[in-house]
Amino acid sequence: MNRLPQFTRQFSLSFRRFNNVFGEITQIKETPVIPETETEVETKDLSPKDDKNLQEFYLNEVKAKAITEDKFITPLKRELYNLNVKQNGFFKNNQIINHQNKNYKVSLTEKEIELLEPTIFLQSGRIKSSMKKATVVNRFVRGFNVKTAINQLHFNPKKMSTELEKLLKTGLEHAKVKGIHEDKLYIQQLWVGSDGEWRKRLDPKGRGRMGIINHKYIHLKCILKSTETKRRLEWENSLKDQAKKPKTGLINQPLNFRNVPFYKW
Amino acid sequence: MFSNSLIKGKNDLFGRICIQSVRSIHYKENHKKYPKVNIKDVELDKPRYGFRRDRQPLLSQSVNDTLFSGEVIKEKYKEAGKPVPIKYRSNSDRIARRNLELFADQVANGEPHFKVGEKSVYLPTARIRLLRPNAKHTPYQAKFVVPRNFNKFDLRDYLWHVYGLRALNITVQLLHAKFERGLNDLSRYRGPQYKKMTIDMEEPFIWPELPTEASKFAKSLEDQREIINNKNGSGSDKNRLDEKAFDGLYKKPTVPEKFISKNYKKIVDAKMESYTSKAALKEEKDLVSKFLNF
Repeated sequence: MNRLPQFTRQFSLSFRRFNNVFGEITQIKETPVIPETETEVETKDLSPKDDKNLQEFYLNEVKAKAITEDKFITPLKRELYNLNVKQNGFFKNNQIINHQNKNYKVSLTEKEIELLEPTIFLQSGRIKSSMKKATVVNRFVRGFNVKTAINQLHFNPKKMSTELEKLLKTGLEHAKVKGIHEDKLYIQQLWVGSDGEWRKRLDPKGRGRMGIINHKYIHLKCILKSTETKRRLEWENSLKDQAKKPKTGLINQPLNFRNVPFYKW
Repeated sequence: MFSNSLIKGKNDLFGRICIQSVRSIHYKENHKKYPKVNIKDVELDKPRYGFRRDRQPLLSQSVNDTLFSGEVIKEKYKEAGKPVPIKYRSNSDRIARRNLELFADQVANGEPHFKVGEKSVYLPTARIRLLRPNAKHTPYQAKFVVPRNFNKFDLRDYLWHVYGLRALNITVQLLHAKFERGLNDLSRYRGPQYKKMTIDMEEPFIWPELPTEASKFAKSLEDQREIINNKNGSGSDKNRLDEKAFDGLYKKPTVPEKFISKNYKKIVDAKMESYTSKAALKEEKDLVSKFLNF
């Protein structure tokens, strides 16, 4: 009963050997016997999860593809950014920083700062839903602290809220890897996109007309940021407020006509 | 009118009962006629069980150690001079006992336990197939796929004459085939019906377990299909990583990423390229200047 039907064909792949056509010249030496080491036996039984070499290979592959700040910003800028954050608790633009006995005025663009700041970008898989349905849920939690958002979504009966909850939970895992405190994360941006390749169906109508039913597929994308960003924005806004001119009731401009103390007619 | 008695019987229970019934009674109540009840005798929470009369057990209940009890019960009723209940008046138990004895004889003598069919088939062409049992079957049951023109008697004869197996009871299941899709069009059609029969046997039979290789092979086919589906996925499914196939052989780890817009990426890539080329050039220049002692 233990015999199985043979599913694979039994061809021999080695070629026919002419051992003794030309005497000793063509005589094939005995194939060297490879001693079976213990490690080889172990690797056979390893599950892919425990296979260190494979996991390392995969990790390198993923890391090479991943978008990280070190691929887009020069090392000096990164170093200066870190020093700045160390000094101020968050990044303050246009400050003078001493690095290796040199003074640098660190001024970064808004996009550079966004790349350097601790953020996590999340992408969902393909979801069978529509943009309209997703937007309702997205508006609900946009700007929330991640943990409160998960809490709220967990008890929301909508399908999209469970999908979003799953996505945010992966965000928490990423935060652990990155060393960002979970409680400090908040949803800075959250949006839906069409996932393309929608299945279409005919919708027969009266009077020989046809409509099209779209089976919509979407994905969610989300940017999480930490309180560091919030503090920076607060600081920048306070600077803006300080730079504002004092309010005047009237227009504070020179008159654009000649004002002379006598009649001109 | 009641005020006197009210005052008089203010303290006893009876007086209070009178007061309660003032509104609904249109005649003068005589307290002597009222049933006298002692509060101690009243049982407020009556038990709902155990107060019924215990009856003698039925005569039929006393017989519980014989296989076909009908005959014994009938005798008992007759002895007691009571009418036999309708339930026990038939001869079915007697017949059943007679059949059982007959069956035992047939088994002992190696004879068929049924009336053998009259049509003699010397080379039976019918093909019957023993199936693995479902969850609902006992080891004393066996299921066969049989030709559609088979009936219960055919199978009984067949099993007896070919294998010497006694089918004690046979049930038939006539089943429809699954729908199949055509290759070139959207049509679907059904194959022919097929017939299964389940028999009861004297002795149990348990199938040997499947070899582990078989289940492994089936699993590998499933895994292959899953991976192909994943690779052919559309949209965001293309970068899906949660593959369980082949013990997670294709599952890749995830790395936290940052967001960068397409346009900005173009700009920054160009900047970074120029930076790296400059850095490389600088290294070379340094080397040359070191060599020339500048």
